[in-house]
Amino acid sequence: MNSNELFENISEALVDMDDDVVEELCNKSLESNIPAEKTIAEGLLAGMTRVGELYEEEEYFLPEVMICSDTLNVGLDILKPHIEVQNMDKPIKIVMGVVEGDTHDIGKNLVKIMSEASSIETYDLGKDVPLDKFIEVAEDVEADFICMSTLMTTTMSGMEKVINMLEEKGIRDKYKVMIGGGPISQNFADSIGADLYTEDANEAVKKIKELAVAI
Amino acid sequence: MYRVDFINENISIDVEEGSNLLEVIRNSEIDINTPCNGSGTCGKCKVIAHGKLSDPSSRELEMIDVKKNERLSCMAKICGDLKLEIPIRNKEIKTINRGYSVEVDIDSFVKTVKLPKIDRSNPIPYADIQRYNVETDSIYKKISMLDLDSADDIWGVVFEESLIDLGFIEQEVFGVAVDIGTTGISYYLVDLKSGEIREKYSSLNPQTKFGSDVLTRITYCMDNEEGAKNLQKLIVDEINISIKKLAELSDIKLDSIYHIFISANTTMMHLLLAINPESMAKSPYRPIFLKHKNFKSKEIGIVANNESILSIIPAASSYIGGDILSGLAAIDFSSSNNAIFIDIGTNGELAAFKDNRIICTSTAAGPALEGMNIECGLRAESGAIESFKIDDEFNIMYKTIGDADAIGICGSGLIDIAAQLVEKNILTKSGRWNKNLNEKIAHRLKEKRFYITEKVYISQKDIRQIQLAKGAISTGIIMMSKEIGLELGEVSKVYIAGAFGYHVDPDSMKTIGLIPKEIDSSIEFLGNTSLEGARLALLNRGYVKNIDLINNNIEVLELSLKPEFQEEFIGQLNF
Repeated sequence: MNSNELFENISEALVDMDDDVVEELCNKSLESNIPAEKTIAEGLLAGMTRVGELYEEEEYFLPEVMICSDTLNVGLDILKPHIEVQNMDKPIKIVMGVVEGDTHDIGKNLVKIMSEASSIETYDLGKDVPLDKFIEVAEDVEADFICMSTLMTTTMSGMEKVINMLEEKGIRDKYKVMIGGGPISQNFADSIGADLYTEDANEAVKKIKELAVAI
Repeated sequence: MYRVDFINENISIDVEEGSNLLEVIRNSEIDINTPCNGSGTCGKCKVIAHGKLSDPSSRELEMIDVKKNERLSCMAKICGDLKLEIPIRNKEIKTINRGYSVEVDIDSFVKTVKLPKIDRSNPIPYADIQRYNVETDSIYKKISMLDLDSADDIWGVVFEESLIDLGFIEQEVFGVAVDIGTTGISYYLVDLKSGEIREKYSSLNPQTKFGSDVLTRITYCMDNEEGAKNLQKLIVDEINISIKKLAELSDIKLDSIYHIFISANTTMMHLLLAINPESMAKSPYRPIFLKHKNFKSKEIGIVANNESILSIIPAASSYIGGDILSGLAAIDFSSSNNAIFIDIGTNGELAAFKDNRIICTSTAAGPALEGMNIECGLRAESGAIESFKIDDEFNIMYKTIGDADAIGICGSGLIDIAAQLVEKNILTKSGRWNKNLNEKIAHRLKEKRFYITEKVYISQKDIRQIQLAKGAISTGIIMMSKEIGLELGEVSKVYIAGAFGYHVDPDSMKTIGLIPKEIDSSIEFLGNTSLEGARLALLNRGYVKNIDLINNNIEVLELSLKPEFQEEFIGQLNF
């Protein structure tokens, strides 16, 4: 099996949620001296990208994505200790969380799975996150994006407050602000001056990458 | 200024350029359905507009038929004169205003009493001689009228220890039990002497035009300074119209209604009293009040006897309201060990009973099971598919409300449809369409939509919404039972309250896993236990004490704060 075939098979096994095959093939890649970072990028992460597409096409639903993400981790656990060359590209950094007042975080967790699978450096602040914390951490880690989520209409206004706080501090231009969640719409994103809104997790990550290139 | 003509309503008004069309319609007091409260996401506020409006966005274009001149009123701004056709809204919704409950003796708060005769030789005021408290001057006026007259027998109406009316003949005394639901309001007119229900009535909650669920109503209050007051006015006006109707239907005087008992969820209760519910809608979800108080009905503008009392049933938390507590008290849980109680609405409220402990939780089921957020979704109104079956030959049978032509699907229909699709393997367990369908049925599946009629279909996205809703409820049941140490296998009975549950096929609920498959007890439908609870509260003071007792003992579980919630929920999404 040449390395391309191997990557293809790893990717397929991940989409099929087959932990055993992923484990076997990842070990095989190490035995064949294929660089771990290459197997991660072209095997595992390519598979996860496919999972994201299937989710967007409504073929896969939350359980499938979550299980695939577990399968991904099986592979990463094997390969990560063997990464030799650090990727020299500066990674995209994002800070994410569910805004203050809301404790529903499954949607946000899904974006996290997809962003981590896309090698985006993700700082997850969790749920019910105080608004100033988004900015504080973004400043600390020199993030590119601030990503906020909520399921409740009553806490949506927190997103606008964060944007206003960024403006007051004169650092609005340092960050792209992305928002999402059940009650959020493009219309709302426009009205509060957010840079990015998408309907689902996979599109979110795609758009983050597109916009990051543009920066 | 531009002119807007409402064709069907025969109204014309002048509006400023750039006015939002939905605002214009609302200001004209025309009913329009806006489940998402005008955020452009639900597509239900569609109107037909001839004239100049702002251009639709691409998202709006997906939801409207431009050829028919359709627009989403919440997204359109007025740029010229306009002729407007608003789809006539069916105000009748199918609900139930009966419910199962325990029997109680009549020991009402309001009673008639024979009072002592006026001793015209005694200088002490009659008000001080009879033993009840007199709290308003209107009673003195009535005494003075009786004092001047010569008749002897005096009858009083008392609310506990307070005298609220008196006269020469024994009064008729009535009470009104009200259940304020987020969607519908139901009423009983109750004879407080015999306990008999004299009349029933139900109507749509007029606040629905500001959103279909409690969160959108609360958002409205956050965005508008007068929000809570506006919503109070809507509900009070509606209650007044309905009470008047009840009195007319049963041929009694409004004056003989002395007591109104309200059961409602915590948000509706706040809005009834014009109290801004904002703090309830943010973690840690703190309400402004929970305990019950008695008010004069007239204090909030409710018209009945001038001295009539308005009482409300207490709540346990922001999301476990008086509607649930009254339901729990109405089914006598002392004899229902290991039972589970489910009330399905936008929020699913759940309770479990084990060894004298009661645990309660609420779960964000979303509005899908009420037919909202579903592409062809409808409330339980005429033309909604309410039951559905596919036979072994893949023939499709369905029934609509009012036997009208099918125009959409309501909650009970959705559950039947999902269950049948799963049972016939048209949907896989994971909720995906089966790619190898029998040819007899395959033609109905087009572009991930399963067509029931030429126009009415269920989409993949709809199926996902149903999965989320049923997953939320079954997760709630599982985690709550675990918390109280109740094994699902030992559940003795599942009680289902609410109008929704009443119309749903129990087998379908089990097929889709809305009730976890491990539970194998019988299912009993209770109907509107919230309304029933309000009736019992009118009739029996002990029942109200019992609600307090339950409220003191109840343990409230907040699911989203539990770390294992996500894993459990994800696990419950499959059929």
